[in-house]
Amino acid sequence: MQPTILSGTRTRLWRATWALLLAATAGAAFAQNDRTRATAPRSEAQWLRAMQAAAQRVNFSGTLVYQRGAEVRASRIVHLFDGAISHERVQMLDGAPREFVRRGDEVQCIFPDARRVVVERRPGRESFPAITDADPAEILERYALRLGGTERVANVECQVIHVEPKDALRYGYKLWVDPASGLLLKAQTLNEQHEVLEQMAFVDVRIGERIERSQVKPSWSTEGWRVERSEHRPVDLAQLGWTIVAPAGFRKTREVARRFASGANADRSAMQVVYSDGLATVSVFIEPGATEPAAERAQSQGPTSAYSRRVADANVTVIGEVPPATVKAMALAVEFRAPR
Amino acid sequence: MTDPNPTAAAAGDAPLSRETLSCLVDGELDAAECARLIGRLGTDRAARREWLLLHVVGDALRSSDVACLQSERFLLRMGAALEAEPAIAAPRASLARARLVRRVVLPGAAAVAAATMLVVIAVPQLRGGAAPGATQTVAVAADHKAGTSAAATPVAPAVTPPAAAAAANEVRRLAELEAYLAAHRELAGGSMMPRTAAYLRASSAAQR
Repeated sequence: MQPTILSGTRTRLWRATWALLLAATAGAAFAQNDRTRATAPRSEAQWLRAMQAAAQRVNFSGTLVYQRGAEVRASRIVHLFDGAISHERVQMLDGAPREFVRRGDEVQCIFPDARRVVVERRPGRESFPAITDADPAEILERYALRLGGTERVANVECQVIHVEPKDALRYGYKLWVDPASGLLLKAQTLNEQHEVLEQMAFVDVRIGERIERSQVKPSWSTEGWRVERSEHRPVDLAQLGWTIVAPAGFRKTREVARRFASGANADRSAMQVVYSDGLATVSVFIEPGATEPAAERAQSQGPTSAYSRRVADANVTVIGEVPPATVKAMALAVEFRAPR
Repeated sequence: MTDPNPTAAAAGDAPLSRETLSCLVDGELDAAECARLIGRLGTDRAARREWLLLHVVGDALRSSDVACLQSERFLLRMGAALEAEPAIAAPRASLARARLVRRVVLPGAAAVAAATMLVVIAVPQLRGGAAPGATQTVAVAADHKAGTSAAATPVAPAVTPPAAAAAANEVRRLAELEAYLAAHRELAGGSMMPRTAAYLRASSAAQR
């Protein structure tokens, strides 16, 4: 092109246009980064969804401390999401060595001192996505979320979230969430007097880093160990003559007949119905024809309450992370009418 | 340890002594001896009981969780057996001191230790964990009629251990509750509180 005044101007015009375009793009990109860095305000429902998603999808490893009353226990946790399912390993660092290894829906509970493995099938979002992950809207019907300030947990600046129950049937929570990943880093369960019933907190955590498969496999060689499988199958209690009234805000999530895998009740069969309000869960156990009749008794330890009584010829035990009055009311509402 | 076992020669004929069985458990007999003794275990019921006792005691020593799962009947029988046990024989000068302690003193001491642990461990598990507020842990038998547990008074951890029978009752009840807790934890999915909290809650009870 022969240099002319016009071409010179065009060149300058082109250069100017390019510069403007570049500036505009850069500006837009910068604005985008700025938005994510400054974390646009989330609604309560969005916070809940972010936490639920993070629990499944964020890779992390860290040391978690759990405290209930005077008991303090530490554990090492590794979580990996491979795009389809979650892999997780929890190793108890205090007391008797114990390990829980999860692969999708299946959890291996490893007891090295007894050379025993109990394999459990948990409901996970992997196979029942609609049932297990509570809809944030439902949770917000029973709990009020309130954002607090920011506090540092495990060297991460966290958003404090107060979860206040709307009635006395459930406990409240105080949560510390990493705004960037949505991961819950610290949580307390609080009673009506805002006293701490239990708390768990990461003391160190590495979020989003690469996790090796070996970190989420059992660290014990369980060759030759006794393996027990927890068995349960769906059952219809109403058909068998049982009615249970769920407390307000609790929805039935599971109804199974099962055998207990371990403990003093090993190989006893029972029916178990699980209710949840999105955050807290309660299980009702019914054991017809139990040889030892249950005495009417209430127990509670930390956030867990239990109530047992006898209905017809069955032992009924209600247990869950709810106030004692809730399990008692549920237990008293269990009725049996022999089907004709 | 390949020291010659002075009791091995007599093992084939005499009734199996606890010491011999203890050697078998510790793996101090040679292969032929082991095979013979195990054959005898198949027929000798008294020896089998001894054998079982040694293993239970060993497990109880190694794991406080296993110790707590024993039944009340067992505790009572253990107590009676301890009372009936003869005094420990005078040490034999020809044996090395370490081997003496392992084979003679320890089996007896282990039984005593196990019984003591069963009572002592059971109590702190029940009384501990006094958080403020709703805290009463497993209610003692006398209070059961009332229904909801008493609130607010934290139970002092240093309580004189109750009689072995009462402690055994509490241990059994707590062990039963542990089974419900495990089943509850297994199926209680979908909570926003991390599932790990559920594992940690169950482990805190530490009764499996």
